[in-house]
Amino acid sequence: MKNFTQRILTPLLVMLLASCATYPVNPQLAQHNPQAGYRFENLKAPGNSDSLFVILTFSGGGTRAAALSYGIMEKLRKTKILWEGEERSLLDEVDVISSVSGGSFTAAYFGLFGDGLFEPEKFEQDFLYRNIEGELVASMFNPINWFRLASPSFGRIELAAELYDRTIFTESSFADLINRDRRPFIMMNATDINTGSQFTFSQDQFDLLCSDLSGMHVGRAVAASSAFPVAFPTLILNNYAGTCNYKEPAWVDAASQDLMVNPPRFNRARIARSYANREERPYIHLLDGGVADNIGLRGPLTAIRSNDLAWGLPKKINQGKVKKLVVVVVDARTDPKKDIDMTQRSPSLPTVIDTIASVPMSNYSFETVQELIQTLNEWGKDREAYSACKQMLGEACPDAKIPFKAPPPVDTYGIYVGFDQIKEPKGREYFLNLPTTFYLKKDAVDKLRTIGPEILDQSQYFQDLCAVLQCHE
Amino acid sequence: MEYVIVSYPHNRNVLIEGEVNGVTNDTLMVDTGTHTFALEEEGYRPRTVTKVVEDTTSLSPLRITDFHPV
Repeated sequence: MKNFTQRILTPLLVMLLASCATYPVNPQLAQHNPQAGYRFENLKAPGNSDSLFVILTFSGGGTRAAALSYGIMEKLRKTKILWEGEERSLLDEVDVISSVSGGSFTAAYFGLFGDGLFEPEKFEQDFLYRNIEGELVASMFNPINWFRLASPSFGRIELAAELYDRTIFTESSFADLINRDRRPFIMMNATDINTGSQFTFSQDQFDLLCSDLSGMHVGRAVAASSAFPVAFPTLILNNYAGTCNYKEPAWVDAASQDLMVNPPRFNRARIARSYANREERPYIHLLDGGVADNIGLRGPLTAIRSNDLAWGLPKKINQGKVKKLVVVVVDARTDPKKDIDMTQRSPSLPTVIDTIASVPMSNYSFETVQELIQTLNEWGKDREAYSACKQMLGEACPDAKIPFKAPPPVDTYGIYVGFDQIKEPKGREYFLNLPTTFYLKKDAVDKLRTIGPEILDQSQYFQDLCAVLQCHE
Repeated sequence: MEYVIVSYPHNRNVLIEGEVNGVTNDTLMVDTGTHTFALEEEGYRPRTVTKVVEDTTSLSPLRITDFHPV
């Protein structure tokens, strides 16, 4: 009888546990309200001027990326500047941090806890020096989780989200980020695998789903941002589009006519509208932000070139609000040594798969950085062309003048921090061969924290910026 | 990046896609593409002007001269 009961009850219990386990559903938004929610414009900026506008982007790359970006944050905090007659740290002037995967841990922690990021017992112990990877694996060996994972609506990514939530981000939600009410605006990026586009955890993005981001835990956003394909399944969001009186921004309609003149803008509008089709997209599946953009620069690049994002910079520059624009791209890209060409044999299947997965990502990141540099250079050339014309006109026809004003003045500094810039060959090789994992030895983390500031110091654009801002430590 | 000047006899805020983007008679930076321009406050016609902004430079901006006081 006992055996019979066990044979009946055990599967029933398993089925019950499995059916109970589901992902935490993102809350529905009752009423669309652009004045509320986690958006750049809704955050105050005490001690942070608009005139010096600083954007940081943190790439993916597991603990390697988190440690490199942490080192840069430490450096910016130490760097004191003089701006508009006031002394403050360069970190105080950071307005936006856009992050992907491993970089999202550093970004989210700073967004939630501010200077707490730098306290010795905090982020260092909570993440940088911790074997997160081992803990993730251990959680999957926990029999209770086997039952939960048997549920079709509870994947390994939810175990990761719970771990991050509980042990790193103190179960904080985006409401806590809103309540902190200060810049920088943290843009954690995942990838919408249906559209292949970047999905940012901001209320502007969640408006499209009629979902209230403030009710979502930050750990879950970080988990989505770092949900490395195959290792993790997708993180799922419910789409409630059409239920919150959402008013589409005017740019979407304008951009939907731009297929020929500005295809990327047309594409942004097309993707934004795709969420409105709730019948075809009742659920949104997210993976690692690195799939769409592994350096987190695409969103800021759009804001630099266009007003389609709510915090678009052209309008701020046109109004004379932004006088200096600084973009620091922190890229933990590696380039592991391969011995493919040492033999006549074809590379193994895992090597080919790894190449297919990583090469397009790396090439795309390279192109994105080039686009940033090209955009900033073009602005400079446009202003130079106007000045040169004015000067020539003044020399040839002293009484004549150009019948319209110069483009708005803004100084730009595009700074790239990557391991390729390490001059010393052995050191460069060491960093370019670090693994992508959520656990690195203390020595490696310490080296990453040190190398970031060294690369930054060597950057000509950073030196130029520091000359103007009278940087000192 | 494209350049646009919205000409008008008075100093008014220029709205692009409904948001303040600068003032009349200044050179304004905008993204390539279709944009709807308007002025803040009443007393002018037409209410909005939609233009495709492309192929401009800092020395040959698009000049929008459609707005007139009424």
